[in-house]
Amino acid sequence: MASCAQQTEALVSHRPPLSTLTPAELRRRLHSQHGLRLQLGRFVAGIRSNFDSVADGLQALYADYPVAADDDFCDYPVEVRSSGLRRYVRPQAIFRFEGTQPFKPLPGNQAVAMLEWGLNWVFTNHAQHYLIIHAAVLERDGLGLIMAAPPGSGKSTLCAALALRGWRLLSDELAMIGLDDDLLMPLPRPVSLKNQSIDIVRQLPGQPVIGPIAHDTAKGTVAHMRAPRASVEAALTPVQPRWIVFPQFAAGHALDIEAHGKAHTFMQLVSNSFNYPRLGVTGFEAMGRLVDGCDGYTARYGSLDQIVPALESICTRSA
Amino acid sequence: MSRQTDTHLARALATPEFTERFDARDWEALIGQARTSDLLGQLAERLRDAGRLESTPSQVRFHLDAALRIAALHRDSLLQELAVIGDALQSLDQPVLLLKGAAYAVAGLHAGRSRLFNDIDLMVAKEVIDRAEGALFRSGWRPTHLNSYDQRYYREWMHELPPIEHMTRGTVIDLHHTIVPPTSGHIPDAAQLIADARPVVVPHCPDVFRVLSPVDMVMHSACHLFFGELQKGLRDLYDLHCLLVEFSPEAGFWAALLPRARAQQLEYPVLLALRFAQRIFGTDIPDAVATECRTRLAARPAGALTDHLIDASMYPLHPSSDSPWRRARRQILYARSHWLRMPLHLLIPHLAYKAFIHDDGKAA
Amino acid sequence: MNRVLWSLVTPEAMSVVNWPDGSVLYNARTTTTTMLTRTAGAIVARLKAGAADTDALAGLWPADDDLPLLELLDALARHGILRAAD
Repeated sequence: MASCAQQTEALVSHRPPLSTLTPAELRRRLHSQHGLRLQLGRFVAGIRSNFDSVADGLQALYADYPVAADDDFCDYPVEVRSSGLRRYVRPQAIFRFEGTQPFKPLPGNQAVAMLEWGLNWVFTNHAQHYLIIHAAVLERDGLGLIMAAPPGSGKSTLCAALALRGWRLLSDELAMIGLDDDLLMPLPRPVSLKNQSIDIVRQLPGQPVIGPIAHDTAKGTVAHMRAPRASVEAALTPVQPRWIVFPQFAAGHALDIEAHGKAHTFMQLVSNSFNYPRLGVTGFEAMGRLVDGCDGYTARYGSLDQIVPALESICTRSA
Repeated sequence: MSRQTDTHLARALATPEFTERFDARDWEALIGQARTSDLLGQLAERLRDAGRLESTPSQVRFHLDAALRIAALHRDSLLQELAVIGDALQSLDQPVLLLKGAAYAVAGLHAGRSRLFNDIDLMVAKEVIDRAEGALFRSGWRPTHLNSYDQRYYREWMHELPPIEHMTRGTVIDLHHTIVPPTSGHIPDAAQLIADARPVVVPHCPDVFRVLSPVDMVMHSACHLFFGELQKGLRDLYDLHCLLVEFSPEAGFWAALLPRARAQQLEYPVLLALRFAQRIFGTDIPDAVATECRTRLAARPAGALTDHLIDASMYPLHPSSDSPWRRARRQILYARSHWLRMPLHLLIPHLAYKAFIHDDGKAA
Repeated sequence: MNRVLWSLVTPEAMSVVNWPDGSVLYNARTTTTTMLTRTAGAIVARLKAGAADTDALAGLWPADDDLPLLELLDALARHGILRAAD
């Protein structure tokens, strides 16, 4: 009997990418009761929306993602809808998961961003049996780099830059470590960018595709970069973690990479973890194994040109 | 739509074989209803017990396995928390009753397996409740409702003190001295309940805890369900069903249940409990008891309307079960912290990057 | 030297992992995660196996520069990790 992973692989290889849907068909599914069933890593999200901007955003950012059939099982039904009467005056975007509304409404022009934040919330809340760290995750040479830092640290810009240079993207926000296998579970999604980093990334080589821009959000100006197709196509292959880096960007700073002892790395990761406290001794042991198998560093830098080559020299299998 | 889905959760819990010919739509409804009702772990347990986990499609099974794992974490947390509480209340030298979920778990009952835990409900004799609260304050719990109106509401009108929350871990204790609000018009004999309570053992914990006797436990579960706000109607009714199934073979249980409930002036909620458990979960109730139950309920005024209202609350608050009720906020105890209120960084108060053991303030 | 017997306050709830740069202690009872020096970590690991007197704890690991063993043990006791019984 095929393993779970093999069954899922077999299914996915037969699913066409979203780019094969006509715009009309895409909208029809978004408006239908069962939603557009989009494969995100090992999950299928059922997405419903009556916003045109969401349809456009999906087309731009999720073109390479497999589309599941209506009668495939949907793990997480979500919707971003404009509310009733206000739809015509100043529409609001409301996010719902399974009939519940976890957030207050946002202005309608933030619908695409809301879908992204909503999906992050769903995965964070319903994959509690993973050790989840607030980090970008990329793969190089078959091994995983975890870049852990609080929001505003430049992590997403760096993540986008590395992805454009051919590193496989597993996630820009969520490092999800299996408690049984200690592997990083891929969940590649559009890389969220804020304010100046949108322009920085737009100018990087590698043909970045940037989706719709939302202004005046709670986080400033927000946009997303499409995940590279190869990353999406490899989304069912987990990765063994090998390097843990805490990036700290400060304009004008010189490059300064400092290796950490494992106890220090442990404590810093704990403060970047969403759910470590909830996992009890299981979390402690998983974190211990994670840290044990990795080299940890703090990397202070002032520009991408400094940090990218440094990471590429650290993160090689032979090192 | 292939079939009606609104009773999927109740039917799967009652008879796991019901899932045999489920298609994707059915599984979505079932998992969604279970998630919404906080019953996913217990559903997984039920399927596992019935040997049906292996035949569940792998995409679905992922969620069931996850729920079992999370429930195990909840249970570990609960036991640790009870050990702390046991230490704190040892000096009382009085029995401390565990109520509801914590009781089911510690007593090894089916209703306690693979469940999520919310606040910890404790009951002590009225004469010692202030001392008990004081002992908990000394161990780090703090009041949550500070205005005098709230305080009076709880102390005078309800049957419990306002919930108290631990200052670092965020766990919440509801301390009771009886099992229903005095204002409900029902006055059970709390001393009798305590006298008949049975000791239970919590690992690495002083022997202070007891649980209600089987009949009293069913009675309390029924009271909790029908005097509460019915927001978790299906979950609480499932607990009742599990208790009835577990205690049914015990000699004297059925013979004692209704008479005991009458003696404690709590017959009505128990009658309702039996009716709805049988209706929703098909609980096996001896004919004599079922007949008595029907007769007594038929004699009540406004019975049909009450029936209808209660019935509406026994459906999961999920689109697939078409419930007219709006979903209420719920608190989920998770790793002994309050999910929605406490920011993560407050859960790790002693986080130390350098060796904190140098207590004179020098950095290591 | 007096025969003070040391033990962990809640040994069944405590786990420790040791590395060259320090140790990390998890206390499931209090849900706290704490970093300790390597010496302190070695002491906790030893006591998890059972109570030990002060002599047995000396020399478990090259001591930290400026903290004599007794002061370290007192500090760990003050932080609710160890307790002493005569």
